[in-house]
Amino acid sequence: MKPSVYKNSRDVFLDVVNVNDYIQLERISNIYQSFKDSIEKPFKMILLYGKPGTGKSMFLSKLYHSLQYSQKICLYKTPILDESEFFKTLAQDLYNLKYNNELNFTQFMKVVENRELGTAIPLILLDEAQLYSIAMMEKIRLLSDTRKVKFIIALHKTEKEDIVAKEHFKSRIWESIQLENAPASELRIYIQKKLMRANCIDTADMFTKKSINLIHKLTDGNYRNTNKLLYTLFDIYMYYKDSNPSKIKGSEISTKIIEMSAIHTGLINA
Amino acid sequence: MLNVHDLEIRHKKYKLKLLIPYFVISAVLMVMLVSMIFFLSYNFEYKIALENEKQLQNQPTVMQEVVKPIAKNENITVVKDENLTSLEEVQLQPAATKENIQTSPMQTEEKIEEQEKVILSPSLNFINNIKSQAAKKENSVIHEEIKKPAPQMRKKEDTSAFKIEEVKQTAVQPQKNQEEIIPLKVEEVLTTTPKIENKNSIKIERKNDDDIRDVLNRFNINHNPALSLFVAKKYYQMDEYEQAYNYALITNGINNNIEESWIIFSKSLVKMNKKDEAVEMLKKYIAHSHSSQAKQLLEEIQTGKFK
Repeated sequence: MKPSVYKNSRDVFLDVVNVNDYIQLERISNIYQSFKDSIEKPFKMILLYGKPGTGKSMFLSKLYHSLQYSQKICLYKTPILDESEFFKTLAQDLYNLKYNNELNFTQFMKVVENRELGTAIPLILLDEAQLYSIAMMEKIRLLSDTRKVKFIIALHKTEKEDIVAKEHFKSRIWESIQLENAPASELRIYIQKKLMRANCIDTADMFTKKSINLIHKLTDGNYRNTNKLLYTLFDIYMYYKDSNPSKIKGSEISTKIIEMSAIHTGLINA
Repeated sequence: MLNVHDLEIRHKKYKLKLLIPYFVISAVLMVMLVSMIFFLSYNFEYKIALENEKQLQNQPTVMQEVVKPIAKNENITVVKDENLTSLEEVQLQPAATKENIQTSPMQTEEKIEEQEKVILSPSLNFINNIKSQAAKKENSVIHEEIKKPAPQMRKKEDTSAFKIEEVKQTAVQPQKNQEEIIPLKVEEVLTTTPKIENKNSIKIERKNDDDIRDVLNRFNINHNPALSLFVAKKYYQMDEYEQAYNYALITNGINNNIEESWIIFSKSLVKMNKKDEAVEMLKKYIAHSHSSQAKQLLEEIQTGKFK
């Protein structure tokens, strides 16, 4: 096997949110479809939550890219923590209103309320919403109450989730979607589909049920951890290909190298 | 930057770390196993030690038990041990032989000397057994007296201080010592009534020819007059008087003080129609030994009772 195969395989698992790398998995596809259907409904807020690395960001990106040409949609991958800056950015993106001075919540509410509804309600996607303050989250709720703007917020399962879950807040959430880690069978499809998309068929064949089970055991089916582990794994394969090819003679992924990758990425505490 | 060498080392450590629980479990199991084996072996040794201790504790009583039956049959062994206390002597000695305890040291020394003089002699139990079998056939009672050749013992007979009447127990303790000592006993009156025989003897059926051959073999080795006397008596019972005469003659040649041998010798002569020679020989023997049995036989021959 050429060294370039390992390099290409390694690069497949670079931990970046790229819509082009989105892997169509059956379970995720079903969730995505129900999510899209929810958008059509007159909801106020949609909560998308799950552990880090379960694909929330990718989920929002995919939605953004699929709807950006059909309706007004804004994606904020990183939270805007300054309140004035947050409202100024929304005014700019939603209504093309540029404010040089401060824009507080009251002023922005007036702007939103005075806007006439078009064919579709503008959609605002907020990733990493757990970083917003509680006060800011309350203001977002009040904005969604105007029914002139829709919010989809993605957050980790942290303390903030409890705030969102409060009764007065909960009543405003029409849809709540939880993303979970992948089971072993799904993880295998995920890895092999990723590699085959990059034409790394040989390396894709090297993943047996045994090696997938080990990877699943180590990563618990977390996509981000799996990406990190496999990136390191192919990095080690590249090293051995250059220095000691006898160590990677087998036709299957070496258990030893999987464990070494897990040690390097911190999944195994050695 | 990926440091694969360092990763390999960390991986080795990780693998060792994984094996630690197995090592620990194995070690614990080994320790448990060893301790169990040690405990069991300790218990076993402890039991053995206890048993040995018990045996040691029981040993004196066992010794007494061993001594007792010997003391019953052998007066000498008890009398010999002068260091024994009177209580012990009483315990060891049967009631019937209490008189022997009171015998003087001089007498006991004489007995010992007599014993030392005698070499090997056949067991008279054996003879008595055969006799009793013969007696059973004839439904008659045979009284036999075997007198000791030693003059010292005859003195005791005269004083009647050392008379022991024994019913021979042919099967009980056929020890070599007994075989040596039994012929030295002063007097034996054998009552071979069927009742006693049933109680005290074990019947051993043997062919006469085999007995004689066996005894002759033994006689050829040690030239014991008791053996030749036995053969003579056996031939006499089988009505082979010439052979009985010959072996009685041989017996007399070895020891001319055996009364029974002279009796058989004389009876065989009578049976061989040499009554005169028999009478002559008996007279000479009576003159020498004053044997009452010989006198009685002489009288029977002369009166014609014995033919």
